[in-house]
Amino acid sequence: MLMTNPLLADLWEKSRAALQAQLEQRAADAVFLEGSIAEGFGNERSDVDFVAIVDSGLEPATMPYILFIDGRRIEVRLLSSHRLRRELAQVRAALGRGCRAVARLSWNLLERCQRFMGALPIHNPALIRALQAELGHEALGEAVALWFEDFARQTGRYAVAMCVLGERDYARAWIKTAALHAAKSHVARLGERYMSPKWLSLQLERAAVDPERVERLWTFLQAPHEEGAAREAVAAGIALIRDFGVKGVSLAPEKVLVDRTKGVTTWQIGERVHILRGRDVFALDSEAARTWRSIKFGAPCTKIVEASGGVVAAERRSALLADFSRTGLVSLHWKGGGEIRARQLTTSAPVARSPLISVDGARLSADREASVQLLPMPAERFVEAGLEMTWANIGLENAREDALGVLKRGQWRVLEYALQRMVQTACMVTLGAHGVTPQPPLEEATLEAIRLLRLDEALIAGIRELERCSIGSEADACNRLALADELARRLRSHGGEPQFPASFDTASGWRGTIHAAYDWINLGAHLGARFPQTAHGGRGTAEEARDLLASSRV
Amino acid sequence: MKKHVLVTGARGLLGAEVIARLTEKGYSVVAFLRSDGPVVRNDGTPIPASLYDGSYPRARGLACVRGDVAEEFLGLSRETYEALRATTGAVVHCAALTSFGRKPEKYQAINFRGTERVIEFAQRGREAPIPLLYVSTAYVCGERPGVFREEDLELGQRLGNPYEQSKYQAEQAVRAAMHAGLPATVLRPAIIVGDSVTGVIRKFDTLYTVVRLTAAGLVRTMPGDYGATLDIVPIDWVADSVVEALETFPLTRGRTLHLTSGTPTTLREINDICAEFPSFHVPRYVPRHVFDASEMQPLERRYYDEVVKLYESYLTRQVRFARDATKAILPRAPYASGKTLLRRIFRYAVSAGYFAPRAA
Repeated sequence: MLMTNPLLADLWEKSRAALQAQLEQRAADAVFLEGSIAEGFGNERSDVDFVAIVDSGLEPATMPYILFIDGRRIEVRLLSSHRLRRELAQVRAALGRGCRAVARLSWNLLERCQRFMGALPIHNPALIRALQAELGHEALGEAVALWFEDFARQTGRYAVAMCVLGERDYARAWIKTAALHAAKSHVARLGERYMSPKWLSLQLERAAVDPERVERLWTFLQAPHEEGAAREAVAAGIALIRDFGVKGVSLAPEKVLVDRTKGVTTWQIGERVHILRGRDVFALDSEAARTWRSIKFGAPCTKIVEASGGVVAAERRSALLADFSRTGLVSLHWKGGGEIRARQLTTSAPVARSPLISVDGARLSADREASVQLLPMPAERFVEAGLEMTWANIGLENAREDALGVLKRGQWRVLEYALQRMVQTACMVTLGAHGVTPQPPLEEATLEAIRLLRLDEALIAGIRELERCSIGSEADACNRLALADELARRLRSHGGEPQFPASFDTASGWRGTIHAAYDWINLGAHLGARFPQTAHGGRGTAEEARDLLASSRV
Repeated sequence: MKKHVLVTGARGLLGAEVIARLTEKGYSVVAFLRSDGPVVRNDGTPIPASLYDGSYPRARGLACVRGDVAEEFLGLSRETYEALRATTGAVVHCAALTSFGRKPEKYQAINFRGTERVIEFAQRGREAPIPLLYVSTAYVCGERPGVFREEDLELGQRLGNPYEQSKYQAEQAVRAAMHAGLPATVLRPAIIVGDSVTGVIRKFDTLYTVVRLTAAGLVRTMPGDYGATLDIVPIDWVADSVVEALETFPLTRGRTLHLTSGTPTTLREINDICAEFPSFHVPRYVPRHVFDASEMQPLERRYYDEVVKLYESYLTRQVRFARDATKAILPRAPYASGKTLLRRIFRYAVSAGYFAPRAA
């Protein structure tokens, strides 16, 4: 304890004076000091954390006021006794329900209760003690110990999982976390309940934990990451956490199971496998797709990795499974112990690629090594743009068929219209490939393509020429059709695919393309997506568009 | 004299579950089997049984008699037939050929003529007839779209396959017998799938057969409508409902009851659940008028012809089975339905290895 009570009382008075505007309308019923100084730790540079209990009938904001007085940083929080009582009751109720319920308490709530229970009264100690009695120090200690015990168990299991999946660095990092929190659980049972991890060394000392075990802990925590095999490190960590009283972790690969994550679904478009995680879309390369397709919920990771047959190397399967779990596409479970709840956040960096969408689903970014690539647009935009691009491609082919028909009959005005429609729908193809949705109406298709995409001057000149063209002879008509074909080819190339279907000459190529269109419909139906309004350059409905797709066989 | 309940189709999925429930409730049961072997519950547990010896089995007891509903006198000796008739207090007629793809005459012999023989058994000439619970199918509705009510039967519907045709005729026969004084109830379950909680099913059939092929990507395109509906119900609930219908026979007598979900599942919803399983391919549904099987790859075509085609008619149907009259007597809704039930039954089928993911 570095500060005397009179000194604290003085600091509080100065703080109160500084916060007069905030506090004069709501007098504090009690004031206490919490945190490292109150717990007997801290130093000259430690923050001074005051809490004033105020009951104005409204819940004060959680954010503290921050002051600098006498060279010290001071934080003042306001709390209602109602909230304190409620949160203390939550901890007590969780204790009554057992370890799992305690583990589900948020760190913030439990820590707020712990800081209050370890508080040093400044004003009205009677009220503070009365409130503290609603939970009791022993019960608080038990809750803190259980919370850390569960966290150590979960992180220990996660370390085992990472070890099983060959993610050595991750395994080493997590087993250290498990060991530290096992020690925190141990000291909590010995009366050292302050939750902040940074004072663990002093807590071990004050709790008089066996020095040999303490030494072993620090040696373990400070071991360089690259030192020794991960498996040995995990084994040593498991032995250590057991010594600190945490059970339920073993280096048993068969215990690590793969299971479902809610809200994750798989959609194949053409040959590309996509995974939806909520509104995120991930596109998989072929190795990732094969590994993903081999997953059986409830099966041990090792079974999936070691399954006979297949072409993806076992080591690669492992790495991909780890990637799937980090990305939140699958969850890892401990046999008989439920989901491993070590980490909550999922990590992914979206890929940058343009154009991003093809008839066969997402294009992978070639400059990224990742096999599981997060698209930089939400699922609805992805599917709507894909549907519109597919529809526009079919519309373009229909317009061309029209053009060929009227060319034979010498109907030049109709041909002018058909050629313009070809170019307009070709613009829609490339807009769709770039993720532009909803698409502009036909009148604006070329204008928007020119405005939004980097079309070169020659292409722009060609588009404008065709839009202004007036056909007067067969030779003229043939030249204009050739120009429209060329523009369509170049606009499609700008979208990434010079022709549609990818293999127009063979029946199987066409079939593949039509099937990919139905795959888009599957995903669109799942997401309740907006289907294209313009089916073939006209103003049809989704149903008409679907019929068109059905009848556009060659 | 005490009487027992005679359950036909005792080695089938539903028959065995009905028997298990009846014996647990203290009924004496005679299981009518077409083949040797134990009566096995859906979870694989055999039910202990003795051989039927012409007398009344002990309370909670199960005795087995081997016969064949497709044969005269149910394939029994005249003596056994009469003894069985004398000791039977009620018949639950579950026996049916439910697998698809057999010759039409097989369905006629077992499902239609077999039911006629069971009716004949229950009518007993001049003696008091034996109450009969006949397990039909909701799909006697055929391909007719719209609402199908409990009292509906002959609506001019087109029947989708020989199975439906035979069940339709059997129901006509039961109704005719009812008009002639036979105390009977017609129960129409929808498509029976696995247990409502565990998803367990002892025999994979119907829906499972098709999903197995589509999930594996062996058949990826089928003629169908996303809005078409299938009505699926868990086996445990259907078995409970059959027993309940027997126990409340004075109320159910003379009625037709729908053992259906009330909320049919669309193909789109089935796709949504398929998409939750990493290994599953999601099938594409192409309008029927556009679908052309000749465009399929040879292997896909083979699977389509041999399996999917048998069930194809169900992929375009839109029917809702009314349950208003049923609910007044059997108010319990299925314990799980729709997507929740699908998730459970698919998960079980994966764990049982029926829907097997391919190695990476």
